[in-house]
Amino acid sequence: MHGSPILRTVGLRKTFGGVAAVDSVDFTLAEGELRCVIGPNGAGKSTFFKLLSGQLRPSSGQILFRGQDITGEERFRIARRGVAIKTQVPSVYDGLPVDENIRLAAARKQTPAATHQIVGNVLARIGMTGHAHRLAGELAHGQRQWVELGMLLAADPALILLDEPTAGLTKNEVERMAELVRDMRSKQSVIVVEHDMAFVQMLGGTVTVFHQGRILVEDTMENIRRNMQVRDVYLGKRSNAGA
Amino acid sequence: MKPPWSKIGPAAAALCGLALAFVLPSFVEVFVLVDLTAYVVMAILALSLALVWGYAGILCFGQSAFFGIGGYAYVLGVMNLGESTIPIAIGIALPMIFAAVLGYFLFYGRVGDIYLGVITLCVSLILFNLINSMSGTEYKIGSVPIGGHNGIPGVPPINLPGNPSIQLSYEGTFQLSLIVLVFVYVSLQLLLASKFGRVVISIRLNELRTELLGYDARLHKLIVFIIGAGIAGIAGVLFANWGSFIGPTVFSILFSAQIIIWIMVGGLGTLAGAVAGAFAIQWLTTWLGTSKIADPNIVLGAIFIVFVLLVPRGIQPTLLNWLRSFVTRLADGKAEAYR
Repeated sequence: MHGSPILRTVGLRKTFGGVAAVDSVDFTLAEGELRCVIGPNGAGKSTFFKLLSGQLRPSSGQILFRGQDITGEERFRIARRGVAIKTQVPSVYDGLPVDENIRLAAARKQTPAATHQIVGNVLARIGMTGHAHRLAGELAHGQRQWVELGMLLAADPALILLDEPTAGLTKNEVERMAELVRDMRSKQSVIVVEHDMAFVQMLGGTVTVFHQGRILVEDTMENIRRNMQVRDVYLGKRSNAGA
Repeated sequence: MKPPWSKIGPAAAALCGLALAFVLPSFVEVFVLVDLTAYVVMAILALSLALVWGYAGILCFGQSAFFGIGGYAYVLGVMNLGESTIPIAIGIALPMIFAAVLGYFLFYGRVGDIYLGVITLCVSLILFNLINSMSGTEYKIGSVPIGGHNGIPGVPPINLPGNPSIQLSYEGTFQLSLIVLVFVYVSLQLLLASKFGRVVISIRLNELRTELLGYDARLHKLIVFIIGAGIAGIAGVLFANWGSFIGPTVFSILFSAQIIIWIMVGGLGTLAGAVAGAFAIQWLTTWLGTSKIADPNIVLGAIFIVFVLLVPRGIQPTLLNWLRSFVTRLADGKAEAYR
């Protein structure tokens, strides 16, 4: 990938009490890149996402979005710059119908006419046209994931962060999700946090492995699968990370 | 999306209100109109909290503070200036300015819900104690003594703008108050249906998600808070006009709590319900006061507990749900008959 990166973190660090959930992370994402972030539970992946989206303020370090320092910015300002996140626990409007959920995502920067069109298109893309008037809270967990994804698509961001997008999805849906995420690459840069290794395989691209708040290794999925250190980390064995 | 027939309800209610304003004075005794005027004024106050709490999710325990500031500002203005038009404007503007400053610290300081409730309650309390203690004749604005716990009596009625000698009668006061109620009700319906209004509602449902979509929740809440204060101020002005009096009890915790009870009974998250709740509870407390069957405060407390436990959504949503399921059962019954 040529050109300047869309996202760069420099020594990004977040501590809670004495524990560093994210520990001096230097992360770079190129424009239009699709990256997967994996790692055992507690490795700091979701905390990392929360820092990127402005839900948490870094303890130290920098976050640069298209060269601009967004460290410590309000989460709505970061969202306005074009960063959209699908949170680990689906964050949709349970009390509103599906189409209203998506309309709110599009309406901020679109005319009402354009918004209406976008809502129709997105509903079709996520396969929820038939459920448009159902309350999001009445849907199954997997369907709510699709609604949240629809909201992200409707917001038309530059950088999409997906935190465990396949949680609660059936095998067919996982394939559909992979297709949709691969499609995103044409317009957006994407980072996906996942536990489903088959899904990560379907996506392709570079994989970043997190462990204890740090980046352990970054490589293709092929090499990661053969990496003994990564295996040890997932199996909970002591690893010589950083040694 | 709300079904289109949901616009008919509010429109019908508004038209009924306007019709009553013009027709009722010819049919009922003046003293009934005077009682109704009080209920109408409290309904306007209820609408202000319905907006701020029911739709924006801001549990403000001090809505009475804006009501009282509006009332006092109006009274001090009209008794100093001898003309009511500018004091009415001050009675609306001053609570809004106060809300802007207070709200800035509350929302941009990202104060949590519970703390916001406590802080707004304290604001009311502080004002209560402040005004209450200003009994001495040295406490005056212009030529009008603040009066402390005695309040300020002898407030002249609202006059025709520019002509202080033409003043509102009891019938006129009723009509003006009811027209204002309808106006506020319709305005709020329009506001909540607008793009701004729908964002406000989304903030109540999931503030995190709304900000992650790029909306500034703090600004939206501040604006709603200011609008709510303005509406409470209008109610305060009309209240002072109704009773020809204003006193520090408008700042009391008891009064603040009553507004919350009206909303809970009528239906949190509704407008018509808030009006109905205010009317119902007001009527009940008046009746209890005169018939002396029970202490109104005990009854109010009991009603509050019952509603929180058994009818948490309040009357309007519960009634509407019952109506909907009744209609659905009727329709299903008909479908069965045709099989």
